[in-house]
Amino acid sequence: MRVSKKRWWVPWAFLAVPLFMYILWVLAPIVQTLLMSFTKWDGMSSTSEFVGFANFTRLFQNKVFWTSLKNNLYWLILFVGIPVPFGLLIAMLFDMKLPGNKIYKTLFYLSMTLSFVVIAQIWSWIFEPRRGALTTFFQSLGIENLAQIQNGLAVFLLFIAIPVALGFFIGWLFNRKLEYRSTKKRWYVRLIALAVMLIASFIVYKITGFKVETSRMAERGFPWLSDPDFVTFSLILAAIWRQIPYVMVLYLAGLKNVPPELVEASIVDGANWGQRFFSVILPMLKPATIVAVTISVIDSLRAFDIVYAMTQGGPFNSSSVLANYMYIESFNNYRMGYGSSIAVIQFLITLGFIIVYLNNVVKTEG
Amino acid sequence: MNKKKKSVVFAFYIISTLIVIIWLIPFVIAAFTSVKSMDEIMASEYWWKPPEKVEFDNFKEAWTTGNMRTYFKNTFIVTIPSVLGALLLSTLSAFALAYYEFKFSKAILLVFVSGMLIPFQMLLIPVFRLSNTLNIYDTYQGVILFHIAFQLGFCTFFLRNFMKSIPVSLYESAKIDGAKDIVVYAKIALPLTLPAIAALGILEFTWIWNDYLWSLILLSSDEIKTITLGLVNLKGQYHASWNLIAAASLITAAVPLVVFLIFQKYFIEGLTVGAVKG
Repeated sequence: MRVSKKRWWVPWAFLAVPLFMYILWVLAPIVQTLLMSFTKWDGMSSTSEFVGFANFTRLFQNKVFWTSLKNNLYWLILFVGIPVPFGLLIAMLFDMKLPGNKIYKTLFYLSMTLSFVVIAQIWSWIFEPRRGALTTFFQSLGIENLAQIQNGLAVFLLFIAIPVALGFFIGWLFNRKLEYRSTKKRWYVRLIALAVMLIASFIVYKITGFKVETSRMAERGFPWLSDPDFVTFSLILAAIWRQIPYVMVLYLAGLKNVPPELVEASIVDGANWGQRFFSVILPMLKPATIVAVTISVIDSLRAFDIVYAMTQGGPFNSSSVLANYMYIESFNNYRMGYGSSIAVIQFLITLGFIIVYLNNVVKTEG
Repeated sequence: MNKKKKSVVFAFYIISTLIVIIWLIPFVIAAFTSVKSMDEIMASEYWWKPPEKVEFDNFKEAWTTGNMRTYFKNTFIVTIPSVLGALLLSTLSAFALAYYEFKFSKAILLVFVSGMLIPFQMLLIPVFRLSNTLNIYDTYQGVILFHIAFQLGFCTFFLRNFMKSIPVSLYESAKIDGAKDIVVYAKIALPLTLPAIAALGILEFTWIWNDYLWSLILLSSDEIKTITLGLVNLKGQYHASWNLIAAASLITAAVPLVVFLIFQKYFIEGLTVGAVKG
């Protein structure tokens, strides 16, 4: 409703209290932190000293900062790379409206309702090095230590996952030029591209004698949370347990907007399973994907509770993330200005994704 | 399409059952541990095995000597007013942004939305300082006021989207009858938004119940700590008593789990409306 000139104050009357509280506790603090990042303050004295960019230059020289940044990057990649595709697959599975799927969904959702602090506790038993469930599981597969897993994962990623993805991509590139050919021929092209990539990567693997460098600890047992090279991945695994159901909820809502007639029409037109998924369903899920990806990115940069409750960033800061590093510098070491500069870096990293999300809001609101 | 192939149905049940079992393993292990005695845990070779003898003493001990009783009560004292406050205030701001067209309405909406997305670390120090200046550090009010203010971002966004979907004619009919703005809000916007408010309330309840960081920043005395802080405390005190910590973890998880199981429909609706619409 348009507001008449005489009654301009009416919406503001409704907004007054909420906006005031929001400014006081959220907006003003953002500005304060930005300003504080240029000062030196111990959190107690009444004055703070302006130091220009000194906090930032010190930050960039600090090893813990770079470790945290690297770990945040792992969090970001794995938090988008695993929950988004798996959330989508499981959403499609549970979207098959078969009897009993409500019970499955309910049970699957349960992990989403837990606090990260509880998740940290529950998973510390699973990560128990000698008698925990994860160790038993890998031992029953005949794997003797963490180093083998690290090596296996790296080999899988570098020599199988990436070549397969590349093979598909190259096959797709060729097929684009072969538009007029039959579906069968397209499959040949794809298979040949895949085979070539896999054979090439196998040869590279044999020649280089590839092996990941692992800690001595990892060669002796399963130090899930105490091996500096592996601890971050353990933490991410526990967090993903909660994130996949969440992404699945987003996709289930998105799937409701896919008209079944459209999928059926594509079947009538002779589309196979892959075509149906990639050219009919996936494009319809674009809005859900944008939200799932941006929310996962933002959540990954917010990771604090689970890191702090499980390892406090240890051992030797190897699992530290920016959020955790910022808290420890500000509230344990009383370097508030320095802490603020870490928060500002975090903010700058998130900013791009916040803009994507806001843009999405503006578009859907018209 | 309605008749699915038998093999597809079969695969559905196999895969779904497998996924759900894998997903529940951590819960099951925690439940097992919580009813074991410490002697049994130390003697057993595998920590994930079902208990040989079921004892509920751990829950009793965590509840009384572990002080979970107090933390449990404190969390209700913090969570309920926070949820109610955030809901009440956000219906006001959402109404202003949904019903009126004025110059800054879109800008204010975006400010609310962006506030809910920023990293918490941008707020930690100033919020800590503010609660000291206002003399509400280490009090219930301090945490409650912060939760209300911070959750306003998401709540306003959520309720505004919902109020926008109410047909304008409904508002206008009241306006023609000469109703005052506050009456339009109370008699039309509020009752029609009730389902959304319920969904939002359920979500907010679990979020605030599960909060750890803000209690960590704003509370320090043991008597008023919330349950997530209490759980971490307990772990520090009884770090070798796995069974006790497992019991305390389940106590902490119980409330959000029960709320979710009862109000699942609202919970899921809340998550989807809040995220996908925007």
